[in-house]
Amino acid sequence: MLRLFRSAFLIPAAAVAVIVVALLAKPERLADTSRPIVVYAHPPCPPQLMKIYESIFDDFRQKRPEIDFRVERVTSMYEQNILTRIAGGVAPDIIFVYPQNFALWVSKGAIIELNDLIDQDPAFNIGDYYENIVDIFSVGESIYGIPKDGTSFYLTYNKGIFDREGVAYPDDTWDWDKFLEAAKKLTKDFDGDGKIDRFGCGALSWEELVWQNGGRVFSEDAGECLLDSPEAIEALEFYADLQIKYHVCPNPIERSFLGDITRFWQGEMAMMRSAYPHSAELRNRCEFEWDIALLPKGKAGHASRALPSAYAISTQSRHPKEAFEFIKFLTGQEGMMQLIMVENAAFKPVATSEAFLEGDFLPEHKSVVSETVRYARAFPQTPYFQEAWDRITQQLTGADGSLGPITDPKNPASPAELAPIIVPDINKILRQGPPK
Amino acid sequence: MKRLRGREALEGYLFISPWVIGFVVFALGPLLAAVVISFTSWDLIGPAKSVGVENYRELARDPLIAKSLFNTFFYAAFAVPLGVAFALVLAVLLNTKTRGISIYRTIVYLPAVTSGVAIAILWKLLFNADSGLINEVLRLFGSLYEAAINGMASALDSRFTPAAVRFILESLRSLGAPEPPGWLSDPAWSKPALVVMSLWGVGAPTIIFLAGLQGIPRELYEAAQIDGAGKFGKFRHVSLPMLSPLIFFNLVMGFIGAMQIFVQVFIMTDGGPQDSTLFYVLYLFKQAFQYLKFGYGAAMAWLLFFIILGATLVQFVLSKRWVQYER
Repeated sequence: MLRLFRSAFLIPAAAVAVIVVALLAKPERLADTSRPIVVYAHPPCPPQLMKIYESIFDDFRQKRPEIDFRVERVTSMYEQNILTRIAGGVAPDIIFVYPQNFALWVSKGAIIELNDLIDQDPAFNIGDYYENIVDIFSVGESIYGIPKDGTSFYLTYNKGIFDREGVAYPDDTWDWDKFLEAAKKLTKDFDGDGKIDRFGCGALSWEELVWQNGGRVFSEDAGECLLDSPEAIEALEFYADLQIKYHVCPNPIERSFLGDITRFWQGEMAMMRSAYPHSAELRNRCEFEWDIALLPKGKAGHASRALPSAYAISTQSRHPKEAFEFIKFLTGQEGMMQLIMVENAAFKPVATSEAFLEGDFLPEHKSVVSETVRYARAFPQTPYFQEAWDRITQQLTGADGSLGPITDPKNPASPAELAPIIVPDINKILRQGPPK
Repeated sequence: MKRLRGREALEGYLFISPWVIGFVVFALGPLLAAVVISFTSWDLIGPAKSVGVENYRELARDPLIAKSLFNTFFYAAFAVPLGVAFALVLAVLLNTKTRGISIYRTIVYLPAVTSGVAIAILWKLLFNADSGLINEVLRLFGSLYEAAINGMASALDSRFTPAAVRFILESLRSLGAPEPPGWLSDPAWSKPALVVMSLWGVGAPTIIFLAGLQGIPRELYEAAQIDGAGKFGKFRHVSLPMLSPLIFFNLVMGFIGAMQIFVQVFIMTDGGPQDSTLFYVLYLFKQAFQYLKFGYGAAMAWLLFFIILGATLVQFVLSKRWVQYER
């Protein structure tokens, strides 16, 4: 009986053993050991944009033939993919980072400090990149990421609608009052059925309004949520009023049916908050003239959310120096010049170049793009950002123009009453111990 | 004889070995690892640190665990019985001999093979409170209803109408048709919306019931007919008992699936509004892969495992009272 048992299990057991051995044996990653291999994990990317990136990759390979440069495309859930590879000890050399996940990478020791590489390279000047964007990817004096773009938000507007309604184009003198006044004039229910056919503006973002009003979402050290301050509450009220009381912006229900960008290019929206990477779609779709202007300023001036991206080097990289070569290439003159139609460079020589500013492509006033970068800011770094953000959006504001208690058109909650209730919960998240 | 059996067993194991290997490498290993991970604090990047039963204690303290469990049970409690009942009715309808029946059968099964993501995006548009098709249709009914009430109330303005009837009609008229629900944008309606949506996927249990119905021997129906059973009687006393093992199977599988609802809310609501669709597995995903608390996530997974195991055992015990196996 025992023998029967043994023989019957022999084949599956042998197969399992083969697989286990194959898994345990460290496969040599290198086929050609003469050249250092640099692996870059490219984030999900639409095919049109991918073509430009591929041409940049080819240029780099030609310029630096001594580096065996490889690209691995991650097509979804980038962070989860990279995290799993880090855990498995096969992290790519170059990782794509952005502000929301940056603190996490640093706090886990997943990416290296770049200061030494920067200092050793006399041809490289970090001062060529927008300082406030570099700061987003730094902790104190330590720089962890070289920024690629300075994506931030401004106002895109349909010139034809403004002309027809006799409203002056937005400019940098616009404050909340002027903005609201114009938005009211531009909002129209043409057929009188009670449904708005053209909105004055798309959804604004509540965190930008809080900043413009002199408030903060989190304290400087990210240990406290400050949404119960009078400035923040006033901004949250204005945010909700735009959608419900004045109804010049679509409410979350209207917005979930038709996104702002679609409404805008269909001519059913006079202004919208957008960023430079949206330009490609707008150039394609809009059959009217459009331009851009700064977001209206609040009583504390201009402010917009920075959503740039940067490149970092994995702690597991065996060739950080060669990896840095590619990062410089992509984020600097050679790479970003090829991307000027779709991304606004964080590298100032490209961002302020004539080819960009005077380039024969919309929007006309591309200087607004670089000006917006100056007012761009990110949240203070905390590994608990995502968790805190989920709580704020679920219990107070709604995420990115989606439905939250204060923007429920049927029964809007008062920010003044709700904010003081949820702030202690957020603080608990921000002050928790090490991750479980 | 013994030898032959040995050889047969060997071949048997050989045939199932792909599955066994797959299970051992890709399921059993991670499963056992999850036991260990659940007793640690691990962010996937750094080393895991042992924290004893702290993660399990946290489960009791975390208010969102209770909330997400409530949401999930609420969903399962409505989606599973409704789904099984719906599938049963559909199977009976599809078991008739009508022209083009195979086309109807295909149509009913089609959603089961459609991509979950595409379905989720489609339903999100259907459910839109303002402009979604569902509410447009409901509003149409609303205006028909209002017209009917208005007509009746004015027609009843005669002396012979009892005051009470007139009062009821008048108040109905003044109330008007109710606004259709806000569905995914209303915390009170978001879970019912997902229950409605779950009925879209009844194709799979329907096919199982259909196969079961076709397997019921004709003699049983004939015997019932001789005993004087009508159409309903035959269904109640022949079809239902004969199908009871399949009903039980679909209830168990449906419940296990419902407790793990994820894709729909991940795509459509991200748990909102106000956590009303924060289902357990979505919260688990958030804790593990977004907040990087893998230890806590693993503990959550084990809690869910024992909940599902417990509920399934209860169903097995209760099944002895109503499931009838042949012979």
